[in-house]
Amino acid sequence: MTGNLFVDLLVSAGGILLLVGLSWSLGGWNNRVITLASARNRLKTDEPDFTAEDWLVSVDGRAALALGTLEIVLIFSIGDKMASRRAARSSLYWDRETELINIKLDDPTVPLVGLRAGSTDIAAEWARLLN
Amino acid sequence: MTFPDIVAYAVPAFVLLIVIEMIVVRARGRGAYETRDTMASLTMGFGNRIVGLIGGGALVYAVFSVVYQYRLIDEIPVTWWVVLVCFILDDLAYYWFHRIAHERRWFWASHVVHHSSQHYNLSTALRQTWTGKFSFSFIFGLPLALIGFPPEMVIFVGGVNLVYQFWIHTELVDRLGPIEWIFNTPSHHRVHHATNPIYLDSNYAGTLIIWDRMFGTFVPELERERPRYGIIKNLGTFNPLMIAFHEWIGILKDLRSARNIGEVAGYLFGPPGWSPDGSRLTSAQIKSRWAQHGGDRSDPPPV
Repeated sequence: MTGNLFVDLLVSAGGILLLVGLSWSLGGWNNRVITLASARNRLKTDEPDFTAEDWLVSVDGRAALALGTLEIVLIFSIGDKMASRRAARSSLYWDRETELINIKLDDPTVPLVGLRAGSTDIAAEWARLLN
Repeated sequence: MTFPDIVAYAVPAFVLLIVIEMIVVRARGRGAYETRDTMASLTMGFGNRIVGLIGGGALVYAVFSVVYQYRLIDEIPVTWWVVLVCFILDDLAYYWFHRIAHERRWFWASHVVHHSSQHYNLSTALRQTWTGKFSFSFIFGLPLALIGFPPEMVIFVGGVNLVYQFWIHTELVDRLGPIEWIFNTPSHHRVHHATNPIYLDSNYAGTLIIWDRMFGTFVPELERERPRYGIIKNLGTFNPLMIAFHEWIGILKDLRSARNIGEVAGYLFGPPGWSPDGSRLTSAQIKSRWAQHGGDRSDPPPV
């Protein structure tokens, strides 16, 4: 690598640090809060033909799960935006830790998503709906 | 005549313009710079430069040089007007590369990186592929070397095109009057980055929007339809490795389930979203379904 290339890369790396720092200092680190209303809107946009029979909305606003007869739509926050995935109920991996329902899809671009129920009773009810 | 590495020269200007846009966006409350999204975009741009330096650029130059040996015109002079002609022809080649990068999954697997942010700002311009050169997306420029334009010139005008496209990744610039007739602008390119069905598969231009107007892929930005940026299945991660390789991983997973050569070809070279049983949707099917539900009852107004 020549000296010029090294300087180019150093300038680029310095630029990245500067810009990320500036973005953070301007309040750019935000998490989208998902409500039932925003989840419904997102579902309507992303999966207009999907009929939700039940909704599980995490009390921390990080995710929501729309339950259909054979399929689900998982809506989750990614930074200050939302993303969604539709999947067959049979392909859904989930487990329960007291108040928390962990959802995992067979999709490497979707992280493990936690749905916080708010109480063990509600979590138990959600687990019943998922079964 | 030597041609400079114009992208390297442009980096300080990129940084300065992003700083200005960040501050204006914050002041006006129009658009947003999410820190992790910005970091991911800039990391992808940095990785793209590294890939170019460690061999991608050499591969492109080598292939262009081989093709140039079989050139049709022997001594094309290096003058300003030859460079201009080369730039225009390269822009036409870019249109077709870009269009096919959206229509064929092999090329989309690299290009999807650039569309994977749900934000649209100058940092999005730098969200570039790490795999494009190794998936031979540069082959669309080879006819220029075959005509007889020197490889250095073709690579230079490609860099100029890339630098031009930086400034159009912004929501801060509205329509630009008659300029919109000829040049690719922020308004035209917002449409290209949108996932609204009415906007899918449109405005593939690099610098000159005339190619979209000529080949029937031009769609104007509509007041009533605010662009929603990103991809059909937006990523749930800011991990640069996943951003760079997720579509290639998807292709490998699909190939493992392929039952015959037709399915292999479909997964590799069919349109993104293609599946043998039709269980997924291509962008053409998404548009068609949307139109069936009355989505395009009103004609878009002319620019």
